[in-house]
Amino acid sequence: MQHIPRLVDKRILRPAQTALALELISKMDLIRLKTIARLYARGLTPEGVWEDLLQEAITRVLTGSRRQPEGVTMAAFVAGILRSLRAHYWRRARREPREDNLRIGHQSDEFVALDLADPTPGPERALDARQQLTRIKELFAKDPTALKIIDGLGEGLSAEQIRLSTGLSKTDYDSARKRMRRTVLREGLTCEPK
Amino acid sequence: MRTKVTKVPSEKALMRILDALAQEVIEASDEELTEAATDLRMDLNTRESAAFAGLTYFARPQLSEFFDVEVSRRLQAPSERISGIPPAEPDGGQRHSKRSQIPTAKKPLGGK
Repeated sequence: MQHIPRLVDKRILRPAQTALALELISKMDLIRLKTIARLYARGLTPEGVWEDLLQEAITRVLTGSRRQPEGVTMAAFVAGILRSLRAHYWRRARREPREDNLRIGHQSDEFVALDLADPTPGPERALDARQQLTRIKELFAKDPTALKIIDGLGEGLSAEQIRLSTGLSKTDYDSARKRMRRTVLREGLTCEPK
Repeated sequence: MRTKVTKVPSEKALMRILDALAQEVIEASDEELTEAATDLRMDLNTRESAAFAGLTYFARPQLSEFFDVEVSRRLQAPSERISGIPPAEPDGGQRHSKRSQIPTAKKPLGGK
């Protein structure tokens, strides 16, 4: 029987495997980052981009293009890269020019320079965001307390402010956050379409 | 009790929620991760566990994992036609003259 060579060489490690082999990152942190990548990939196309997002973030760590600040855990560090990559992909997908490209005026006229960047999202982005918000809320559809917390988080409230506005006790609030964490972790572990 | 209702742009609200959930994940203990995996009947001690899909192996099977380069290319060709991406030329991208059909690289110098 003729041997058919494979195009994918299993001997070439993926960035996540390399980071794992070099003990830059633990197995558990990789799973945490997978969950976070799946969160930040929401609303980005094509489907499955979370994988690229995560491998790209780890590549930046491996190549040294991003440096880990002191006192920041590896998971938090890579999560920060994922966040900025999301912003980059989002801008690129919507073909938005970078904010610094929209400046007019001479370099010397620092005080006269006019920034034309429009901070408000276009209707398409707003619609995408609303759809993703709905999908996130669907994850907690059976948990009314979690939904209240989600609304509070969306409004930028602190834990204390959410507790005050919803009338939750500290125990109830903490239990709800724990349930939410478990739901998010479960969702992150799967590879099903969002 | 709050008296003022402010409308937060959905994109801003989404980012705040994603950031908050990401923070929750960072703070999740190893035990919580294991419990979540157990809920899904995943064994984190197994290298081939579905939990590692997309991390140490591709989340979705790649065509090239099963077929040879040429076979993969032929199988991808119909989808490329649909997507409008021209398929790779079999002769290594050699260009032909439209009029004579002679490869431009082999055309004699000064020839018409």
